[in-house]
Amino acid sequence: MNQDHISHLIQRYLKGTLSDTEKGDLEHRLSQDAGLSEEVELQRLEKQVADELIARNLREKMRKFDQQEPPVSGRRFFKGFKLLILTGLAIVTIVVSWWLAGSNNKPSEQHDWPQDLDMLQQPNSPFDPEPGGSKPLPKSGIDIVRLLDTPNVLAKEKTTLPPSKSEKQAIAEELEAYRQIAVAYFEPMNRLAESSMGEERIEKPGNSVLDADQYYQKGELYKAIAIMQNLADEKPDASRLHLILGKLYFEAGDFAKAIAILQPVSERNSLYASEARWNLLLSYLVRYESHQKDYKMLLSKIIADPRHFRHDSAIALSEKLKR
Amino acid sequence: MTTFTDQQLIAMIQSGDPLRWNQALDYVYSGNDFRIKRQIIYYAKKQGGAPEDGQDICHDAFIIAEKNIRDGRFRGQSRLDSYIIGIAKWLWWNKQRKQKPILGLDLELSGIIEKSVEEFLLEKEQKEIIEQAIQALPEHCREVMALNLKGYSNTEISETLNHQNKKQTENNLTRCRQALREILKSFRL
Repeated sequence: MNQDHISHLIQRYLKGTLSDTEKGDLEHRLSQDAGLSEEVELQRLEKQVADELIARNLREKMRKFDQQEPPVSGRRFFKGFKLLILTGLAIVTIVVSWWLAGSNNKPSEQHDWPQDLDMLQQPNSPFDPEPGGSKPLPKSGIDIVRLLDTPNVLAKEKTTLPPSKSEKQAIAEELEAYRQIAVAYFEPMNRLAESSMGEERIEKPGNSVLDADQYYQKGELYKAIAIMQNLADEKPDASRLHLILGKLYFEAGDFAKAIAILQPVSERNSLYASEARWNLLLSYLVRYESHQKDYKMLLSKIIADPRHFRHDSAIALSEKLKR
Repeated sequence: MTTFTDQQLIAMIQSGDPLRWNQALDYVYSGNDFRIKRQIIYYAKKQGGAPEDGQDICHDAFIIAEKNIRDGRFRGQSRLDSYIIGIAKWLWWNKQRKQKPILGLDLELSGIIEKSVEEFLLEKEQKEIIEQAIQALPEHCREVMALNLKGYSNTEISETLNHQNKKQTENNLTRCRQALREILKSFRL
């Protein structure tokens, strides 16, 4: 038995994952080999030190979560408030959709568009995305989402007629809806710096991740971004730094920058590539008008990879946008 | 809000990826309006304890559950929330048993009591050794070992701690492990 094998065996023994036979064999060896027995005891203590360090970190994180927990009465109020807001939004959406559906049926005075529905449903109608097809006209704002997804509306080079004012408004509202969905799926960071034990060694005072984190905790997003941008410029291969920076830009609403930062990270063979891909997908969704193809390609990649830890979220997102 | 299955959460904790680990912890601990914690505190209050006791038990239960998941001892044999709550209940009763004196001289019980006391003292001694070892370990060693244990690669540790390069981190880790070993040996003498 070589040293690596013995070390691995001891680790499994200490974790309690040896089979009964393996455990019996090892304990027999321990009873006869004082040196091995000493080694096991030392590794046991080392593991306990390691577990204690992790436990302390975990305890500190839980205390911070506890501080963010709303009080019981506040929780109930918050739930009620959320319900009220959602109900209000739903009513507004229904009213707007109904109004748009109504205004879309009115012929425009600026263009020579068909004046009645029968003409609109003729084959080769400009409103028909498929030649010879006869899809029904959108009956509500929700149908507009499906219409918007066809090439004839957002791919401007193929549209033979310019969109009307109401169509432009519908497109704008749908893009805003996509933006809201992307923001809802985005998960802001708790802290920028993970090191919570002791002080970070600061080589450049005022220009470390901890300094950026302090600004972030205070809500001074752009100061945090400035520091992280400097660090990212100094370390172009630091995937974690770039991922954090990309997420900061997203939070700040600068989605173009977020895309520029996250794209290279998402293509690397790095621990952070998965998370970068997910946040890049959300950024593409916000910028759907110009990144429709990128969004669809990345979404299909994530959905095709069941091991991706955002796999279920990607499916849920895709389903939500189909509705 | 993203939802995760128990299997996904276990995989995230075992993955060694600190971002996923944090995400899993956030989801389990504060998810559904801190549901698991509220259930544990409710249980403690029903048993006559204070909410603070329930909160302490809740933290201990999460720590034990996380360790068991990381060590591969829990693989989703039951629901994760039931597992954590089960640990909390066991901890509660264990704590009550240690606090309340056992009356009577039942011969069978005396053997159990002696063993419990001996185990208790041994556990206490080991805890003191661990605590002193952690205190004796230099600050920078605690930092670099904590990040290493959480699954950061040496490159990522060198970025986080502003080391010059990956090699410096590797050397630091080796020296710190040796230092810890020497400290533990000295306590055992």
